[in-house]
Amino acid sequence: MTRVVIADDDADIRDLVSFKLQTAGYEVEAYSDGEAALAAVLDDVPDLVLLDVMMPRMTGTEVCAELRRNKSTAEVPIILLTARSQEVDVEHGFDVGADDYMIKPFSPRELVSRARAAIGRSA
Amino acid sequence: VADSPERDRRDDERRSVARLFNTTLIVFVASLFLMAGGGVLVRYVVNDANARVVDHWIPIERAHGRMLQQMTAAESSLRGYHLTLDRALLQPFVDARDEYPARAAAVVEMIGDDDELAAIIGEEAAAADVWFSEWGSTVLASTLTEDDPRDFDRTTGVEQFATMVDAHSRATGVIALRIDDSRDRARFVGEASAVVMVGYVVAVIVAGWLIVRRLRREVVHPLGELRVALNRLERQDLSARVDVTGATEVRQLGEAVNQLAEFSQRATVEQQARTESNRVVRAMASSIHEHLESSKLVSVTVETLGPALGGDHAIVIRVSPDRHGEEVIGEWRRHDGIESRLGTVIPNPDELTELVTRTFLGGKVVAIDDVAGDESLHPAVVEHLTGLGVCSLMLAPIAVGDEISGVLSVSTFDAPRRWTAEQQSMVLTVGVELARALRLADLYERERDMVNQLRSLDQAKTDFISSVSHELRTPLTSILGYTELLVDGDVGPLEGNQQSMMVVIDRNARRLLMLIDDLLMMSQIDANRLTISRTSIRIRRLLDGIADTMRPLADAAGLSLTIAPVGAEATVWADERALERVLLNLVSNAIKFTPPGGSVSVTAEPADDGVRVTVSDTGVGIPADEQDQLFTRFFRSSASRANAVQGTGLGLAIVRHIVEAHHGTVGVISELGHGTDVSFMVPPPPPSDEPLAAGAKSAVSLTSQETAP
Repeated sequence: MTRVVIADDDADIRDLVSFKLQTAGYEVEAYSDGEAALAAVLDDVPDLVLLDVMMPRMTGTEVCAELRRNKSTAEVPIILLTARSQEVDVEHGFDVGADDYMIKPFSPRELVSRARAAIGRSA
Repeated sequence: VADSPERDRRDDERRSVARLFNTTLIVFVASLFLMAGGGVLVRYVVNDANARVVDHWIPIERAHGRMLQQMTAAESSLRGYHLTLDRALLQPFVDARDEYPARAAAVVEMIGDDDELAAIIGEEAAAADVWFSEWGSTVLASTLTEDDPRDFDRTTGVEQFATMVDAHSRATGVIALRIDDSRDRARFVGEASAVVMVGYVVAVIVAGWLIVRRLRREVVHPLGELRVALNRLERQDLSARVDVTGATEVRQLGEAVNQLAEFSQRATVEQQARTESNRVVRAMASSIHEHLESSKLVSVTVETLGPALGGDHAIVIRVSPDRHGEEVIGEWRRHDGIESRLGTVIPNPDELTELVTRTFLGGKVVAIDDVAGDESLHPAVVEHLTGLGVCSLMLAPIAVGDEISGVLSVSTFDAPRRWTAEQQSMVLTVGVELARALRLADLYERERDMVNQLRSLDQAKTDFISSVSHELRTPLTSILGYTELLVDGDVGPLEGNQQSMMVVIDRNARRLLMLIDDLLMMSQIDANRLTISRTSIRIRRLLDGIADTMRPLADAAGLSLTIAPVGAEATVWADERALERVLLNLVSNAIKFTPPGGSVSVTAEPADDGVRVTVSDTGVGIPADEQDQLFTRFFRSSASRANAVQGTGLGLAIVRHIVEAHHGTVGVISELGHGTDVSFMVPPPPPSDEPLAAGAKSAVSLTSQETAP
């Protein structure tokens, strides 16, 4: 089963994304901060990582950069979720190795299709 | 020593030109008189001598001659009688005997005071008398006695007569001598006067030559020197001086010229000093005014003024308006041997602040040439200053008008100094300039503080808006996300009105999102943070996206939304999200201002310089007088107010900013009651760029577009 790790400090969004992805047939592990998500991903590499940018302890971009530095996770698909719509944030996300980004508020429907595309590309 | 001026005065009088001319005049007038008088005198003397010969000696000579004539006639008569005894012959004898004494006396009378001649004439007359009385009487007696006179010895008679003749001859000789004498005298006077005249003329010539020589030496030569000196002065050679020689007046003239030259030279030197000091002050003032920081200003002032005045130490003392604490806030020292007083507070006993007070209250320069020898200073002040090593100092107020902010002090430590008027005026001027600059700096600092404060407030506002808009996005994500789940039927189908109600929630959540995005974008534009990143965009794809997003809104408003077909390959060079924002704002505006039943259409047509996109509606239209302000932020048209259309007044301002950041143009055509066309032009991609080519991106900062000159 395809496994997705998501990290967002907002519980409602976590639940929304989890629900939509589970409905779409994915196995979802949700975390409320970057550190926990990083530990989980390094412990067992999933098929996709969804990271909110603004999170306590470690930001999404920091987690992304850390995962890209690590050999085992260098290739894992990563999608960033950001409330910041400015291009600089998006550029920074690509710089640290994200595969895609979505700006909040996003359509859950579109998130699923982007997730599917990202997993498909890496497969 | 005392009579030296007296001697000088006498010397001046003796050598004066006036005296020289007077002397010359007197000499010539006197010589004229002398010549005339001498001539007259000579003439008189000669005439007198000649007249004496004619009037005196010639008559005497004649009368004397007649005496002998008569005697000769008497002798002839007597001898005739003696020979002939003719008595008749005796008559002349008788006449002579009677007349002769009177005749002789007359001659003696004529002779006057010539005693020698008178004596000889006397002898002649006496001899004649002897001849008359003896021989004559003897012969005459014979006429009575009948004696024959021929018997008489004639010898006695002859002898007596000869005595008389002899005396006569001598007298004649003396008379001739006298005549000669007179004639000689006249001749001598004539000759002597000629000689005297020649000598006199020579003397006059010599005197004239001497006078000319003296004139030349005393007047002409010094005047020549004077002319040379004046010519040099005229050619601005102010070092020219006259050698003071010659006559008094010429010397006075020379001295006057020298004084004039001296004065001019001094005035020129002073003028040069003044010009130089003006130049220094101007340079100083301009370097002072280059700085806007008061501490820098103060240090630049003392560092420039100190050396310019040749001082050893220059300080600026700040005087607070309440006169408490006079602190040294700026300092320049010629060398480290001078103790630094920067930051020290002037001791506050009255006598020590007296100087500062004097400057402070007087508003003038206080210059003390010699601290140790200045009796106007309080002894405690002298003690304090000499204790510091100050020999002389100048204090000037740092003041503009009545507003005094401090005191400027320049002092010397090596020796007393006579502060010139220029230096005093220099320090005064610099004080004024410093005060002005300080006031400017103060204003500038206040303004800078205010600007910084405003800037940080503005930053806080921008940060706040930015953070608020981000914070609002998170709950909107949940609202829109869960609404979508419900609408999509992910959690089961909705019944009855539930579906349409969910659509209302969705629509309003999206409107809220647009408002938030407008606010965020405007704050980014304000903070110069909006960046656009351009890529080649297929205009058709963009319009399709807009149609999808806006159709629910149009449907809800009862309008038809038409997107005119566009050529598949039409591309523009733009930031996709920004261009999307432009279209969203324009279409939502059109929907808002068009009554139900109307239509909104979007067309895109290729033009020479890009693609022209037009959003048209059949709405209320915009009055002509409002069209100019349409793209101004916070402007809300009369229609929007009248129809209670919601909005922030930011939408079109954002549109204009974004289009202009793309080097595009935006314009509006509207007819009140009939509708509005808003169109904008977006440029095409650069020629080399392939449509949709990967990495065809260029980031352009909106701000740099706006602020670049």
